[in-house]
Amino acid sequence: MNTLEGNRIAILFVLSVTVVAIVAIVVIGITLLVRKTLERRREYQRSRLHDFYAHKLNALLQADLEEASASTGERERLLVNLREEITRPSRYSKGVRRETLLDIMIDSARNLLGDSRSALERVFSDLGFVDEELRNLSSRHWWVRVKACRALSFMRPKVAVEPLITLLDDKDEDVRVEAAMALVDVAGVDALGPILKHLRFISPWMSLHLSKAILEIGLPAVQDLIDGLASDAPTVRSFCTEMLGSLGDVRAVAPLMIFARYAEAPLRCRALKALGVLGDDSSISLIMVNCSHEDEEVRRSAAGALGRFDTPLAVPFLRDLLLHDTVNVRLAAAEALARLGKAGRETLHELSVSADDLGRSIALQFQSEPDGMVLSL
Amino acid sequence: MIEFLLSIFGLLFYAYSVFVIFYFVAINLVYFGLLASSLAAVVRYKRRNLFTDYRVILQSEASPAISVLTPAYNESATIVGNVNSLLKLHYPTMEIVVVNDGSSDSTLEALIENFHLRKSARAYLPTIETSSVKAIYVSDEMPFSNLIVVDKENGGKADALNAAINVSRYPLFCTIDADSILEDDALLKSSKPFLEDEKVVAVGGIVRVANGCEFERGRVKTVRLPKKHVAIFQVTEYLRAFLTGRMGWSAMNGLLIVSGAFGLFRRDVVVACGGYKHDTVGEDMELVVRMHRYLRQNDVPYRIVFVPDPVCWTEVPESLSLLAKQRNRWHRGLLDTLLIHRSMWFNARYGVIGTLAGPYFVLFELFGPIIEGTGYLVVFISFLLGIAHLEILLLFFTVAVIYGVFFSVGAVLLEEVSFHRYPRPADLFRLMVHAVIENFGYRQLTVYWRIRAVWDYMKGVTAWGSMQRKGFAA
Repeated sequence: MNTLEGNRIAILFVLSVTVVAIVAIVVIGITLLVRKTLERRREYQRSRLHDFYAHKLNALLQADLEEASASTGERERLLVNLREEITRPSRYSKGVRRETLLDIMIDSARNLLGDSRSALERVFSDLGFVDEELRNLSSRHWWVRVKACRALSFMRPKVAVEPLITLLDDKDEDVRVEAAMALVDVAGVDALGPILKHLRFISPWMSLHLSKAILEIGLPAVQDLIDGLASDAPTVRSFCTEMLGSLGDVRAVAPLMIFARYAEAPLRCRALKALGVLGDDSSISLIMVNCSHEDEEVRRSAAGALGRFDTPLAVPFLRDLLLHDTVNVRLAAAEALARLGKAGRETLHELSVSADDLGRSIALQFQSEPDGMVLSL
Repeated sequence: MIEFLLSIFGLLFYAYSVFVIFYFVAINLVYFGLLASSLAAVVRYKRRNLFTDYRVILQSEASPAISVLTPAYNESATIVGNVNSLLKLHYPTMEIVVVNDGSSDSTLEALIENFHLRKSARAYLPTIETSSVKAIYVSDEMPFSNLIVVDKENGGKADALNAAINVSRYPLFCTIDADSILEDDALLKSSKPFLEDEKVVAVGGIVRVANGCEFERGRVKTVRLPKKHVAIFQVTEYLRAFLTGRMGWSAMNGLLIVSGAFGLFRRDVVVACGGYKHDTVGEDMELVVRMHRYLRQNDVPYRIVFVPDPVCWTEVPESLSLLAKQRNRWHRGLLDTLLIHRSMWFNARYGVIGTLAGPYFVLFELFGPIIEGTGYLVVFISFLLGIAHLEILLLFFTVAVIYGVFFSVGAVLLEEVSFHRYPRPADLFRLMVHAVIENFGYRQLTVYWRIRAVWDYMKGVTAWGSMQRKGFAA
């Protein structure tokens, strides 16, 4: 018992911490249950309000379109009514009503085109949603800025262009991505120049987003991308190279050939791939030269690019790579040969007998299953 | 003489009780730190991904291609359904590599028949040594054109995965157990960290308990808690392990486990590390620890991360005997890995892994059950011998229970602030009730199983045990 008394303070300490833990457990438990119940109630309220607001919004958009021909004052009346609807006291909280209406409007924005879309954009502005999101762009919380960019990409107000350009230099990548995407939505092809000028780093994640937007813009984006090749930022140059290949405009061939001749290995690889996609005959000899580059990835890219040209001139280069190079380059060479038509297939046949073990095995496979391998490289 | 022995025992009891109290304080501080770190990380992750449009990955040709690897041994009853489920995964460029690891049933025949497979001359480089591969099968039919089946001599799960890695061609590979199912967007979500940060070499997703859920065509239709108590206890355990443990360690780049049931890896790094180790029952943890070791030793900047919302659903044991075997194997795997890489622990050269994560696993995950088990025993014996009073016995038990409850409820809290996959308040209530009652019997059982695993390991037991699956049919 003496030892027990000697440790009384320690035991009291442990007991008091235990009491705190019990209180914490009870508080957490009750909070979670209350939160869950409130959440379900909120969901229920939103579902109740949804159809009501959707109906009011449709009427407002209809009135807006009709007033383009004759002013009746109906639009203003409906707008005031809807504004009151989301601000006046009600048994549903103001936040729930506002969120529900905004969700309905954003859903509509995904589907509407033409005049109806323009009418919706006016409603976003008239109900104060645009001003609110513009204010949110300068929030100190990155997630609020992200959310505002996302919302503005649906609202498409021209006044958002400048603040969004400012956010291209934001310290948070998600904000930069969303700002760039919102800019493309708001300003279209005009946004591309500022985006490529301001961005200092394009991660693969941002690249996926931007490439989607650029592919939607299409050929009008080519000149901005060519200008982007002169960027100081390596990832921006690399991105522009890849996109120029994807867009397939011959104006890109000359600048890409400069990269394929002088650039460092990673950028040179991208330029070679892009040249392969573009398929301009003036680049063939340069691609062939790269088949003997010291970097494995460059040789691999060159082999892949050669496979895109329907010319027997490429066969000796690819044959040499399949016979003597590393496994990855051999695979790329075999795939390219399989793509080259008759001359390529004959070479594969010959190598499936005469090459070394690995070369034979690869040639044999591409000879029998050329399509099965295309995706893998 | 008896009085002398009792006084000696009293002294030992005193020393041991002081040690246990310090140990309890330390372990609970660590758990509290992990809980706080996880809470911050989950909130950050949730905010970061609230607006993520994963369709961008789906629609882009530039998304990293993934090989999905699944080893199968005597899975004839479920393999076709599981492969069908994998074929439906949403991802732009992927191949599915199923390895029939010398099954003695009709697993291979079922695959050949249902997916119209034929032998292929597919070329590959056997970079990692494995048991001999008998044949590779592919299908010419469009819906199955990205399915590759490798038929090989039996060599165990690690060997089968290594064969699949050899045959796979894509820069990332995902491992999934043949008895688990991935949610449709799991690959999209787990590939995102690789796109955001080029230093990422492996990503682990969350594994959730499928028992009790309703399924439709191999997909989870409605999420429900299991009916059996044993399975619900495991739900809280999984939440605690994944949302508290792995999320917390991931935030510190100290993740030592990427579950074998669902993980995404950079192929080149795994090949450079030598692939999965054959002679261990904890091959998933061992690989991740070896990756840490390799990358640290070569001064390669890297990250191994856990992402909490790509979900893999798995069926957990509902009988205590099967659960005992599973836990026994897991703990032997842990012990084996910690011993294999013992030079890393308490070694500053390995950064967070050597100074925090490794020591945590050694001191609290490995020795925790032994200290808790002996704590119960010593206090109880002391009480029987009259050295300790009832108050001490109750205090010890109460403290153990309350802290256990606190961290289980903490895990439920994390689940609720983040993904709240259990939509009904009734399920939440049941989860919390089980977070309390698991401490009265179930927890002590798991302590016993893990102590038994240490004993079995010392005896040289290497068995895997087996599990009878119900499958995920609708």
